[in-house]
Amino acid sequence: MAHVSKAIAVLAMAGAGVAFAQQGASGVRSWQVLGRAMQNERKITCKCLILCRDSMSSEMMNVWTEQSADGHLKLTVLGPLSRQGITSIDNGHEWITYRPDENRVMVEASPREEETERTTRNRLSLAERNYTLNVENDSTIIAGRKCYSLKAIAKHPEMPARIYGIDKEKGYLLRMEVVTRGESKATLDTKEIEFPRSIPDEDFELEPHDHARMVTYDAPLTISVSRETKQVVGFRPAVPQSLPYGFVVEAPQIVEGKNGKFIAVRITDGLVNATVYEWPDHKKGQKMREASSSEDRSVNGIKLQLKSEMPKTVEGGLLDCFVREALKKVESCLIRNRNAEPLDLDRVLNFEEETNRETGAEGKASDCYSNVYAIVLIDVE
Amino acid sequence: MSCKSIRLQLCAYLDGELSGVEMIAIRNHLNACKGCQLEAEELRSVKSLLGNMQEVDPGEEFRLRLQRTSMAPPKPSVRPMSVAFVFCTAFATALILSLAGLQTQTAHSVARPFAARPDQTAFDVSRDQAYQAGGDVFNDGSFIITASAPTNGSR
Repeated sequence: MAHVSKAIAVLAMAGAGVAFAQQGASGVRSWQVLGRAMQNERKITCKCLILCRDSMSSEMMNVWTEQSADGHLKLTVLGPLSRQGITSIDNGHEWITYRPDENRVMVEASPREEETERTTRNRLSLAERNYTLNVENDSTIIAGRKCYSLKAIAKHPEMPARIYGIDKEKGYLLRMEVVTRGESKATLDTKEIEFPRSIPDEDFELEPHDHARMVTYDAPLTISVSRETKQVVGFRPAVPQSLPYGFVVEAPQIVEGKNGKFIAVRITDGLVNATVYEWPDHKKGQKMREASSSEDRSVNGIKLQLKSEMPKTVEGGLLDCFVREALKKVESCLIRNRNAEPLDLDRVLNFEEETNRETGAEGKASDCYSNVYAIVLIDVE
Repeated sequence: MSCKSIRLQLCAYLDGELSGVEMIAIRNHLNACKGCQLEAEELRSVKSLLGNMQEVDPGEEFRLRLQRTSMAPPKPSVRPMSVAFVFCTAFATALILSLAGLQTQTAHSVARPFAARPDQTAFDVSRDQAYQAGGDVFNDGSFIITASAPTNGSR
């Protein structure tokens, strides 16, 4: 009897070992597949019809995509009809967009210019810290192609899972879905694809209408925050050292807007990117009239806005970190004055309201304001 | 479509307020008709000029006065009006307004952009968002194309 139970135990352990090894191998392989797809993103010659989300309106759009292995890319909107004909061309150095209804050509530096293999590696190693990735299915068919279906499950339960459909042969991303509370939403879906040997150069030329106006924009400039930053943008940006949910700060950048310069802090958890925008709160004409969602904050002369596709709780948590960072200056100032006069919480909150009225911002003393002020008050007492 | 009907819709076209089919029809007409093209360009520059105008702050005194007026109890009507009188007045007003509307349709298309003026900061943010998405297909599948520029956004 003892022999039998021992044998069963050995078999069970062996089974578990094999299962673990398989899972481990699947995990390793899945990261390799995803890494290859990230590296191949713009290095494969192909023509495809994709359904993707418009980053502004969140509507789905039909886009005809042509790209060549030498770095040329052309995107033409086919639908909805209201946007039909909008065309973007990126040659790896310059990104040109023609909007026929505005008769306007917008020229910017290519957003892909700063991309390196190192960036992809860093991103993958960060993603490995924050997600488990497994091959869910290795024979999913997307646009007639055999694909791996990879599921990335976030280690932070607040973050949604992601499913990637990657062409088995070419290692090219064909589908991406975000799974929130069991509900899957495709953000990118390839309907048709072909891989020709080459695409002629003339296919990557833009033919704007006569007299189209050309508008050029500067690319964002990566900076390191120092005392001098204040002279450039008019305020000292809040850039926290650490962030929750596995996010890290990639780089603070200066963006040139028509109303002046502002700061964009890029953050990522490896698979999801987000940006925290920062403006000086007092400048005339810098009011964020359309940017007044619940995820906006106004603190210590800085307006903060987070742009991402993440759940509101995550956005709130991340933005709170920036608020705390912006408040650090105020906190130290208040503590330094601890012997001068006792701090009155009501006065602090009234001061906040007054400041908002003065700057014209639609001020609401947010919860985290009062929390932080409350902590300062306890510290002083 | 005739030039007349195109010109009546030009303002809405420039604001991107028409349906996809109408947008395409007007775009095709503009590509072929120099006169309407010129009209569209003029309208665009008017919009741009209006869009660049600074907002006027009415001031604290005005706000307080407005608040007082809106908080004040309504004045009692002098005497009740007969149903026939109300009907006639409403009919006459509607008639005058519709006639005035017919006459000032072109003028109306110039006056509209003031209300439809988009926010430059929102545009700058959306442009930056598109720029970020452009470098990375894995970024939630967001697309590379920039938001439409506000009418005051020409640089």
